[in-house]
Amino acid sequence: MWYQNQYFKADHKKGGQIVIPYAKSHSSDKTILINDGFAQLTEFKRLPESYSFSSVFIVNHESLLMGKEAEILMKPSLKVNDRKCNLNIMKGTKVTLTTMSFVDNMPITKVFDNLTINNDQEISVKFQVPPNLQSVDILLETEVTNVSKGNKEKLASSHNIQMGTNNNTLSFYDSYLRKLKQDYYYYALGKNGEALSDINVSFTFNHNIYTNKSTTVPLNTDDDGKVKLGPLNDIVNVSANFRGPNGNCSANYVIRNTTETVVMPFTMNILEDEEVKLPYVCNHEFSQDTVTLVRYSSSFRVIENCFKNISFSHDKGYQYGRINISGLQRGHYTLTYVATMQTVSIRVHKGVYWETDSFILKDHSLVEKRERTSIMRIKDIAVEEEKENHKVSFSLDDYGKNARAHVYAFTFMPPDVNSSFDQLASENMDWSSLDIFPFAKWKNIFLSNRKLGDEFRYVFDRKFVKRFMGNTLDRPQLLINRHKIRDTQFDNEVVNAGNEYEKKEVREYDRMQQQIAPTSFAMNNMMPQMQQQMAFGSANMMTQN
Amino acid sequence: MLRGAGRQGYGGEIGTPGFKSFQNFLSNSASLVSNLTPDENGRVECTFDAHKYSTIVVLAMDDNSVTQSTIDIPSSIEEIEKRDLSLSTPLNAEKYYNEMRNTEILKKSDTHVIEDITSTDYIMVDSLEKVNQVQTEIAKAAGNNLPTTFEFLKTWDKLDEEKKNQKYSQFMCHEVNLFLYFKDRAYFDKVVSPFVTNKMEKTFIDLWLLGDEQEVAKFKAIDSFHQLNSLEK
Repeated sequence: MWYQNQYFKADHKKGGQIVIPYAKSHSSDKTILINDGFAQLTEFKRLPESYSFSSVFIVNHESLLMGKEAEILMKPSLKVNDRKCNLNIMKGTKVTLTTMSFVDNMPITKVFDNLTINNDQEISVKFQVPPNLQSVDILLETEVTNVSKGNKEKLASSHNIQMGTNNNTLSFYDSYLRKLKQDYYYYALGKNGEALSDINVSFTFNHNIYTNKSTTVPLNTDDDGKVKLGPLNDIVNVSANFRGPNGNCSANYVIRNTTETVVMPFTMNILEDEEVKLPYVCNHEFSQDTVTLVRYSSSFRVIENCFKNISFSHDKGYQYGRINISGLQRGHYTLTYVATMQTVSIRVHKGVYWETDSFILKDHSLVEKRERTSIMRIKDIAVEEEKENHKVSFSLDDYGKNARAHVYAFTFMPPDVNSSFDQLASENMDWSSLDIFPFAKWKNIFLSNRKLGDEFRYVFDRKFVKRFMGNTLDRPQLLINRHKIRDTQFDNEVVNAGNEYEKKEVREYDRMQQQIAPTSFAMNNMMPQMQQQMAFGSANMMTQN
Repeated sequence: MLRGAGRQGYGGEIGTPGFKSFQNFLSNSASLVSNLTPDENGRVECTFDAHKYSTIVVLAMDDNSVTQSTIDIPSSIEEIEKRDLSLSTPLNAEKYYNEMRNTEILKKSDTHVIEDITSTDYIMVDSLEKVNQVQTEIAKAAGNNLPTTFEFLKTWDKLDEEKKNQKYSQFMCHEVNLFLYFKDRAYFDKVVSPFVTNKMEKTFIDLWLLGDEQEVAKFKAIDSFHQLNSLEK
């Protein structure tokens, strides 16, 4: 590749990969692609080295207890042009922890520097929780070397925790929810943990399906200040409210009905007849009422119920089963988990995997496939009593590179037990769009011969006839004797007319194929087309599948 | 929509959901075993005292995905382990008490006895790093941010001669001169003193640094003394 007066050679061992360093700023220029004696002019857009940094801060709600040691985990995420990059390039990482007391508003700062960053570990800092804690500010700072700009970029991410202190109120009590051996218990407790007995608490429950309707039930606390709520099957939300001696107290909790939570991909790109295994995390039996798989046409019309392509299995050790999808042909499908209304868009391509399973090579394009067809799961989870301690053991299945786990235990339920998970899932989500690299495979749609008319043929024959020097004999100088040989006759030459091409009937599919894969020169630049731009139901949809 | 709605109408106090100072009565803070890596079979194990908790959450992740499992602890005890936060030994209502803050400057090998260690919070400031931290915190409490201009003084003793000269040229002022007078006398005598000597208009600090007692004594006059700042006085 010849670009900006530089020659970049492809690495054949890596499937023709060409590595081009980032530019100092956005630039777009003409480039020449050279291969096997052929060359093609096109445009190439060169991106600058642009870093973005963020972090998920994992702090358990019960870890910030006065006088106790608290541990905070940080999962940094470094991206260059929206693509994840190795965390090892982060240098000089430090964490600044500032705690503020609500008594004197004095900030106390602790700095953890010279932290080592590993891809397979979260950053961990521990500190002793001071009394009268009002807030905790966590600032994670690091720097990376921007090679193309030749400088060091400082990056930072911060998190703030505000403690609910009930200052300036007389409410010396609070609400708590506890899950003990399958059952939920509500507690109304004072500031010293003393029970508020015989308090009338108004509970409001929201059902998993009938979310618009809620049921309110008044219940009284017992001598321990608690109310047994039971397993709360199919309940997604509980709110509790009571009028205490010094004011109202209310709390709201999101109830998660499933004990396993996984991240489902939004979209899956697979080949025809390829098998896909996905978790079936649902408390209800597998049936057409709980899972659906339908095939859509290019105009987003349901054309087939493909439930028959799904089979269910529940392997030993797993909390929930899994579904296996197989035998899908080229097209667009949508898998829906009815209970959770999660949908997975499955695009089945006709092609083969190219080099690795990260790209699908099709007739007219190369489709990037970044998602995995298997989902990491936790199985064989067990808590066994040992002499004085408990051993928690489990296995990870279908896990990828740099797998690790964190185990935390607590007494009272947080408002949403999945809050850390949700943040991590959101951070992990690769929001950069997948790429399609189209390439032209032009077909002539006028395939028949055309017969030229005789006049045109004469013109062309005369035009392209081989020319000779001409007659070199002596010219006749005297009178030439005339001898009669025959009478002069005049014939009419019949000049045949030509005909037109016989036009081949063009299929709609071919026409669109031509549109998606114009010649590189016709394109504005060599950037790949984005899958996300291929809106479902658009004209280009058919070509994707 | 539902998450974080729990603190609404909560006596005017809205904090990060789930984080409440009223939980301090719990005798056990949450247990966290972090960064466990699976063995070649994908197996992970850890040990801790779990019976005093109710729920265990396992959070597993790799480069591209994350998964979570929640389990109830089968041997969990129903009673919640608490600690008594009430005032066990109340102060004598017949007496008067007040809160005091004090600072003691101690030299090496000096001793200082804190008579009532149980009701005393103390902090030792025994390095330049800590001095800087304290000054930063005090500035924050006053609503200011301490300028980071003099950060280099924290590592002055580790700088080479060339670097010292460069920094001194850049940040030369009374504060730096005073610092060097006390902390790096050799450098002061070699570089700072000749420079101050050659200053055309010398201030009080300059005269004091040069040990010109005669000139310094002139500031005893009331009109001159009045113009000095607190440190100079």
